[in-house]
Amino acid sequence: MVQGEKVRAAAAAASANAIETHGLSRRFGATEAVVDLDLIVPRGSVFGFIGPNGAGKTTTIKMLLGLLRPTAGGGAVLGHDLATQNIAARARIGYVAENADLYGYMRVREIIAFTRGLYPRWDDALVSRYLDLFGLPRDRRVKALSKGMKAQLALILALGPQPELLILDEPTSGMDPLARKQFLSTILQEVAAAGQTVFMSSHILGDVERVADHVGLLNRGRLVLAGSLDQIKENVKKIRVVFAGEAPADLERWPGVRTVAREGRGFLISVESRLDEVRGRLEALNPSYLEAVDMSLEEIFVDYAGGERLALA
Amino acid sequence: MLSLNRQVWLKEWRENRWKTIAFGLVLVVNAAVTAVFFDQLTRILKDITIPKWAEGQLVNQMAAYPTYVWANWFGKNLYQMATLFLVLYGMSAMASEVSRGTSSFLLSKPVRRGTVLFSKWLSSAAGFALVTVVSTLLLYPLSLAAGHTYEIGRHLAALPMVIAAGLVVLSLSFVFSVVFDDPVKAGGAATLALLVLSFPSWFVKLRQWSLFYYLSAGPVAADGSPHWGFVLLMLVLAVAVYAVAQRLLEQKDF
Repeated sequence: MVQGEKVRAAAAAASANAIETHGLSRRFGATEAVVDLDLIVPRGSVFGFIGPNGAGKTTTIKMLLGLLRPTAGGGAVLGHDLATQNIAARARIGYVAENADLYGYMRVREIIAFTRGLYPRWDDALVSRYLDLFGLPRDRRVKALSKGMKAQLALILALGPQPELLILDEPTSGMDPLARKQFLSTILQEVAAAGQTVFMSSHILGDVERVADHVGLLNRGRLVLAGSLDQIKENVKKIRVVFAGEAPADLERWPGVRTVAREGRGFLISVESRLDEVRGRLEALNPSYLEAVDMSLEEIFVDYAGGERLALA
Repeated sequence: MLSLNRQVWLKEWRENRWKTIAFGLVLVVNAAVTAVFFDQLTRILKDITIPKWAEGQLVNQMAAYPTYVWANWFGKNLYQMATLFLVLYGMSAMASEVSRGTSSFLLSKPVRRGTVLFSKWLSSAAGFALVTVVSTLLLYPLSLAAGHTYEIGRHLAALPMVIAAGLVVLSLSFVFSVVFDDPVKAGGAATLALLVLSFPSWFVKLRQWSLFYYLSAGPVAADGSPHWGFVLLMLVLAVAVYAVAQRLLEQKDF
């Protein structure tokens, strides 16, 4: 290894974040699929990348893998520059594509052997253990597997090279509840527990809430919310308030207030970041009723995604 | 830089195996038919009235077995079948990965796109070259068995040119397989391009400007010399067209 490569490898290994993007953008003709994306995925986290269908999740993932070129911006994956060190990054990434399309004519053992030959390192024992865990028949052709089994096989193929980063694009869509539970349990118990970073895109919020400790919400190509799930739930709340008199005319423009909706005699105010400040100002108006309400990820999603139709688990 | 990935090479070899077997069978049957039917054809031609416009060419071809076998093998069967199978090999190279949804799986692996394409190209090229050489060699014992002989050295001298010109056809098919996401469209476009390239061969004075003149070993037919200069020219063309395919693949979004 020459000196320059050594320095780059050391820098990549020392990078604190698994994924960092700066102004990452992608256009398809007149359509802006991803706009000015500044994304940070900490190492060791299970990051849920959520958004409605067509929000730009798959486009983002494809840019991270070098399958699509950004029209602007850039970033790094595991410390490797997206534009110049993509091959080095891919050797450390496991990826499960949205439809888990694999070579249908190959047998399970054959596609494992094929994939094994494309990586510099491979954990045969781990692959064997997962095959047994999922009960995947080694001699069955891939095309004869059910959708859930194909996704499980795709996960095994992604885990074989002992990746530091596992990228899953809508991995559980189309799976039955049992297969989904088993799939997600594997991610939690085996992958995340081993300290690997998981970047999982999904519009099934129940799955994300079950496994993720960080989330990023993408809507119409823009990152509208990102951070640790606990922090987001702490910062994003609703306040239900009934005023004794008239509501303040400028309520919607108060700092920290995202939306105000009339609910019967009162109001439901969506607050971001400045809960105490907003609550204090409301209490100063002597309301007849005031209550801070926790929001589920689903409610936060609906609130931020502007009422897009969601597939909820 | 051209580098080979063994796994991709083997995968491609496996995916192309039925094409290679079919190509081989068609050529072996052609070789057998060519060898066996010379005597029958000669007798038939004596019994029928040949139209004036075809008389000269046909009489020349059938005058002796070596002329007949060259005209039928290099001048017709081999280059026609080779063109067909080279388009079939090339059209599915990348387009089928996209159409069946495996391109994301393959191209997300730590292997350069250029390596993937070159491994695929080399696998197809090896299949084509193997079948071409084996079937051409097989023609000789089949001819001997049918009671005829010819100068095999002349046939061997033609092989490098046929293979080199075939690689140009293969590279061209690869270009369209990268451009189009549907193998049928890629094959159609390659066929159309080859039809355009065949245009000079319709005119005697322009035929040396046609790729098919070299694919049918035209220069070798004249004097039996391998014409290494033309072989090199074809190889350079094949590499140049392949480089276009690789460049397009490296720029393509998946």
